[in-house]
Amino acid sequence: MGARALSVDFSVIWEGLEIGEEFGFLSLEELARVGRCLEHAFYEPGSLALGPEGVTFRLKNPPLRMGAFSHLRVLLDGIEVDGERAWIQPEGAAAPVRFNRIDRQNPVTIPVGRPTRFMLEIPTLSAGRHTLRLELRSIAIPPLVWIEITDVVRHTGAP
Amino acid sequence: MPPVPRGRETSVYATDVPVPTIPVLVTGLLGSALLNGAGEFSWVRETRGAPIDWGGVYGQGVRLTGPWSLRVGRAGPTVALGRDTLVSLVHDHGGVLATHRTGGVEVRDETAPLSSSPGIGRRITLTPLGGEPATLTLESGFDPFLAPVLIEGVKPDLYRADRRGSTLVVESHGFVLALDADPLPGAMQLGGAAWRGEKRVGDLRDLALRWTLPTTADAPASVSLSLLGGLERTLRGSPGRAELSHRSSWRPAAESGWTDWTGGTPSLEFPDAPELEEGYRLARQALRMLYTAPEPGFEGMVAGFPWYSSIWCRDLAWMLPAVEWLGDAAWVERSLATVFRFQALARLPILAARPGELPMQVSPGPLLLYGTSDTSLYYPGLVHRHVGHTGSVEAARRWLPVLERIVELGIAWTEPATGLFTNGGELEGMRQASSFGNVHVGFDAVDTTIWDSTDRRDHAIDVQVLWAETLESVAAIGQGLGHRTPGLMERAGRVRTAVRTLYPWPAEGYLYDSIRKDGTPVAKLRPNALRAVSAGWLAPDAARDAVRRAGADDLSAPWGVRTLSTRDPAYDPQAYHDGQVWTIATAWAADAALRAGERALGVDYLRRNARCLIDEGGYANECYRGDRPEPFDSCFLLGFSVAPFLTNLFQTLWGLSPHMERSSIDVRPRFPMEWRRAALRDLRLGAGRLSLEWTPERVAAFWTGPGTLQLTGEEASVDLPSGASATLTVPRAP
Repeated sequence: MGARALSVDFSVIWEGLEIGEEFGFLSLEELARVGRCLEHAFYEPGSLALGPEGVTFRLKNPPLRMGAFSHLRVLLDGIEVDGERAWIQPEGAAAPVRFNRIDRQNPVTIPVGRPTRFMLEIPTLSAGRHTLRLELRSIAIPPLVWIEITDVVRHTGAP
Repeated sequence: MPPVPRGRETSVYATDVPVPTIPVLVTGLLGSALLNGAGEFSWVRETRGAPIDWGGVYGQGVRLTGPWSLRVGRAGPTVALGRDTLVSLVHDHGGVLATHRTGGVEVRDETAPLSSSPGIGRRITLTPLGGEPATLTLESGFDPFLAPVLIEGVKPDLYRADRRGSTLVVESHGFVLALDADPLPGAMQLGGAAWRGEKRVGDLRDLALRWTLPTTADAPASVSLSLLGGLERTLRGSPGRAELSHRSSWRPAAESGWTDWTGGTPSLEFPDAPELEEGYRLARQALRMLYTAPEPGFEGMVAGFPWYSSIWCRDLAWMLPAVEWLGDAAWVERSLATVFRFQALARLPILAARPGELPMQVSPGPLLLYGTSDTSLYYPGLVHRHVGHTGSVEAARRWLPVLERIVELGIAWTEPATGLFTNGGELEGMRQASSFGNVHVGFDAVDTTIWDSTDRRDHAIDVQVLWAETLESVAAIGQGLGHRTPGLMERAGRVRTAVRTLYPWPAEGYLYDSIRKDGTPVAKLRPNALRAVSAGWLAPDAARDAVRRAGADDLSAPWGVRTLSTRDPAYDPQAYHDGQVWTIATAWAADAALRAGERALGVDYLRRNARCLIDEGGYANECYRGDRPEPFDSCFLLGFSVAPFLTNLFQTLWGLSPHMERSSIDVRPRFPMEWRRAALRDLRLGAGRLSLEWTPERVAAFWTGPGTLQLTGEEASVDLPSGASATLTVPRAP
């Protein structure tokens, strides 16, 4: 672990102690509990995979904003994936939808508590850890919502 | 919607026709349930542009269940109770009674909030029709939910379920629900598979119970259920079984809470505007629905339903003045104490907290979030108001250190050159908090004023009004306590001067919404500028100009006031804070218009608020599309939408301003010229009650005491001894 990461961890510890002292350690417990809940609430761990369709991953809940989205954008390791080659398919949807077909007249809903699958037409991805950034714009509340996921890609079969 | 008959103080809604689109909200201090007008525990609502079913049971700020269905059968397949079976539904202060008929069975389904536990009780009575005995089947089913309402759009996928004694318990990340039944079901299923209560772990769905019930016409069958939950520690002592043991008191306990409370509130009569009278009755009832006390030492009001059913302290700040006018000073004091408990004393980036800041959201735990520019600034004014209504300075004395820390917070965020308060950047420290292992989430919120999804940096005008009020309130409280607060009034004066100098927008006859750090005005026409009109900061002509400008149809729609003018390039009729109509903005316009002398316009805005309440069955939507009178991305009941209307009736229309610390009240009515009479009865002030009857040029008053109350009008004053009547002369309306 680098020194920089260590310093971040210490600051969190001090903040935690401050919270415990100010508001009681039940508050700290609740904060930790919610944190644990959220840790697993959005992204399905281990779902990042490379297979015949390309790169796929799944969300379990919409990140921070429920409802319909008029714009989606995804970056893989910092490089934007063309909207023509990125797809979303919420559970129950008849067919996946390309990102560049999504707009205010044709928004997409990420359902609460149901899996939503994403597919990126990327034929190769090196083994190891990769970072996805998904940006979403709600049709109701404009500020951008985003989720960044770092996970080890599973190789599920050559295209 | 069938109208609720006037005078029926305990009724909320009644129908003989199923209306699944109507929300039916059952609330207690600890928990609630959301049904629909077909008697189903289900209510689908467009939410941020997509349909979501909000039906189910809530406790301690946690959504306990998803939609909860009942099915009934008599010698055959069971039938779902709801839109195809409902024959009548009555929603009153004791809860809901839905009566169904299907397949030769009548079912009475009674739901009541529990008074001692966070949840609801449900009593289902099944009677065979036709006089013949029958064996009936009852089935109950729901998905556990177990996520705090504080966190939007999240449902866990890991649950643990088991039976503890006769109680079914489901838990997820420390949030629990407990279901108790009498009699116990004959069969249970979990996820479609038979279940005997052994421990199960996983993405558990469809908790189903089944009863087989012998009945006769003289001996119907009855099943009672208690469903409660929230934080894990809620379950200590098997509260569900205890609740079942006094099921006959569920409804009376819920009713008596309402009856006692309503009896302590004033009545209003507006013969010249009966819709305002009805609006007041409905607003009062709606506010009471928002009361919450989810655990000891934790009291306040939730912001709204369905998705804001936790304490948001900004929203609470808008509601508490109305609660003062309703005479519930004790609840105001306990609510303030709850919020002040959680004032941050240090910088806590993980919670977006700055020293002196009050929380944005509070949930049992406690679970806290900070990071707004304005929330803290409401509270000194609330304490000052509380002194005025009660005449007591003791609470203010205890809270003075809290208020002084808020002033220090504000000074730290003040621009030295202008004295203006700076908004923006409140959430910059939260990135750390939004990291959960290998997952980071966030949203690009640069600014957190009341319109927190849009950028109103750097010096939003309504925040300046709040900042000046903070300074003036702390100065006044300090003076009343004999405590020196040097420089505060001077700072408040600087803010007023800066607004009068920098914000006028001559081309529009209005005020800029904000000023950038470099002095550039933000030329956006929003209703927020009307807060400066209400504060009396504008000269009379300028105030009237601003009110009339806001009344033009680019900002004011027949159904309310928009958050942004339709002429602005950024206007979007669906954008939360950049085009939608907000009911609270309509109330701001009413207040500003009345204070600026535009009485007809002011009453018209009040009527718009009242019509919302009446047309929406006693609820009041958060917001509507900017281009048509259709709720969009809107809670169906929001304290923001109810309380300011109610406050306006007392404070602005009646023109009342109590100063009970010196036994006086200002009485400066602003009734329209054509009105002939208005009355207000049993307004609680201090330890007494005041009743007023207005006719043009006079106000007849009666005071129960103790002591003498001075009434001060525009041009005259009169002393009102205890137990006596007196008349105050007031100017005729211009």
